[in-house]
Amino acid sequence: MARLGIDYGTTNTVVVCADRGRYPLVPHVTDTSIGRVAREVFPSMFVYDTATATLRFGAEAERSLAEPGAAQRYIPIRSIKRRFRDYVDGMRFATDAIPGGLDMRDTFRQFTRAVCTSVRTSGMIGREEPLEMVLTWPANANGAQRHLTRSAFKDHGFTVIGTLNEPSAAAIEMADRIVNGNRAKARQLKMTIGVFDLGGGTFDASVVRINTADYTVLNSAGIETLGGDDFDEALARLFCEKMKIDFDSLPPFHRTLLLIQSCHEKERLSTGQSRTLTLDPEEIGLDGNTVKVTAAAFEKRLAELIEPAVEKLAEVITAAGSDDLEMIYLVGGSSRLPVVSKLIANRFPDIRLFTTDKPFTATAMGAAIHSSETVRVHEVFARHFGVIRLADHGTREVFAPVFKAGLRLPAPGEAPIITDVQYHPRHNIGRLRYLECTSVDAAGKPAAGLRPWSEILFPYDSGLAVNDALHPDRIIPRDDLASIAVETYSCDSDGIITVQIRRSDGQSRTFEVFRS
Amino acid sequence: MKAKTKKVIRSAAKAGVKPVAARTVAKPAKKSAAKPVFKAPAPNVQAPEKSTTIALESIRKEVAALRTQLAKNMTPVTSGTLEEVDALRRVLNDLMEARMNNVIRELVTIRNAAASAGSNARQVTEQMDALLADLGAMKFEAERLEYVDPLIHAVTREVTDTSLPDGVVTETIRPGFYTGHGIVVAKALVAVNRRA
Repeated sequence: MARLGIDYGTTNTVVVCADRGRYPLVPHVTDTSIGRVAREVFPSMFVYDTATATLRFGAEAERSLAEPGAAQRYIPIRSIKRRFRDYVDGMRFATDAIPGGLDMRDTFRQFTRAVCTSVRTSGMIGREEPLEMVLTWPANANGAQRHLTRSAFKDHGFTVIGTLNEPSAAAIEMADRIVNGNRAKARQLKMTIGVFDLGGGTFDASVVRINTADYTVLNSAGIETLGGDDFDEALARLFCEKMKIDFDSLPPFHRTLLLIQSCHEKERLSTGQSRTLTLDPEEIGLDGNTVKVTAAAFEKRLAELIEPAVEKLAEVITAAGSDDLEMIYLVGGSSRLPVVSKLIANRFPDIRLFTTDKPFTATAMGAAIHSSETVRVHEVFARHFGVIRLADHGTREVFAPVFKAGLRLPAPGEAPIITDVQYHPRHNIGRLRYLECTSVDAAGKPAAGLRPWSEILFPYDSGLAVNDALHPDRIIPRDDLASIAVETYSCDSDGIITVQIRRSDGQSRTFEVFRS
Repeated sequence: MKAKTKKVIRSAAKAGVKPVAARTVAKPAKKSAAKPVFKAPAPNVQAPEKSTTIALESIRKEVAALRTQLAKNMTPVTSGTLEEVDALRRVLNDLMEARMNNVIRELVTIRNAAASAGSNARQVTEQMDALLADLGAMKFEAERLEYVDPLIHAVTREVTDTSLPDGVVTETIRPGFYTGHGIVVAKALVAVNRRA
């Protein structure tokens, strides 16, 4: 039985194995002419082979791009993780490059199969050994994204024994790092930390209170559309400005190569190897002379992109209401950029920054530790979650909280939180607009940090079928409806919220509610 | 067979290969036909000085002493709790594997700098190779006419030879290194044949 922590990242997928108190990276091993070579990460990018209409992953994908005629044959696709937040059943993507596009679920299943094969052939895990894993995902991942991620790994032989939000996993790893891997000492640790998790595709911030083996998330928030990919594109656009070409009009193959080269140049800046970023157009299959971008110019652009993340961290720290924050842990590959620590240090001059030389492994390592020993993680509702309802016979709108901020999410294995709401409908169709906010004013309206969630239409009128496609235009007042509607909300340990709406005739329908 | 050098580029260009190793050393002149790609960042190394030889020997001895020290330190801990042993094993593992990879990378950079100084520094290069071998780093070169593999090769020169297949290695310009765990710490720099 092997226990693993897996971090499916936008840029790289990292697998860490729990091995009798050690947490080594599971390498991605490939046969070459010099024998087997290993890498610490499994690249999340892949290529579509137009000749065979198949996908290639990992090292095979990278080799494909080096083949003669690759530009004509292969379509490189950087990670699909960012598209997960919009996932619905049957969703297709890359339709602009591939006729008909690719099925999201099927593509991700193929990817997880490649990861599974890589783990099995790493030499660290037996080929037939049962695999148990703790899986991580962004703190702000919605239910569909969580379901898709979990089911794809399960389909390829992984037993998912737990899931963690990425910042929570990082907090577990940080505690381990502070005590130099002495797990006995780690279980005596008491402190409150902030986690600044800036990965390839998303940003998460959390404040976590560590009390021996209990990790309580006091507050958490994120930006789903901020990460290293944006920084790569910012640098790519700077290169394009220098080359006097339009980034958006580059063919997909050249654009992807430009982004990959920009990513490598950015990493040289991250590791302090260079203060000048260079691009030879030939490297991306174009003509022209080498162009240079100074680190200062790039960092100025980066600062504009990263400032919102620093502000988000400030919001999270304030909302957590913790006055004993000891340090901020910088994790995620993009946190290595010097400008990140500089901005955070300026914003929080009195709080110590804690960094690691391998920020891209922190999440997977935390998950691996969680897989092998009793570490209890308590996630909480960071914000009020509720629905806009009509009050006073439909004359005014009020915000009705369903789950209030600070409410603890159930631990894995615990029963979901259930809450019922009953009311007399005043319209033929209910339009339920869900949202979250950080505070509510005296009039019961959301006062700050408002963010919309999904919107649901449900027919209270028994003349309409519950599965009918409805439109807000069809909503009309109906004072004659004598029925009672019951909404039953359920929130499980993964933070997935569902609502079952039932009307008087017994007809009901269940919806998942998620951030829009 | 007549080989015609077409052009020099710094990396795998259209092939999409990242020239990691190339970046760590000097940049070659752009499109200067058939010239050596890498210039030595090292100063004039006239001959392997005695002090250099002593320094290398000193590093080798230090590594040996460190290993002995670690072995000694391990002994009393075995009487501690299982967790203490595990924790120490983890720290040692980190030191000996992850940190060592970084050390090897730096040593390879120094070795390459010495190698690019030409025959004057041959003895230094050989001693560095021996030191790297001591640390578990294995040297490799690309086989002539094998296809370029971006996992282990970085293309730094393109030549045109119509008698050879497209995309094969024509020459290893600088050897690469990989550790006993298979981590490629330096890709082999190669010249590749481009027919078109």
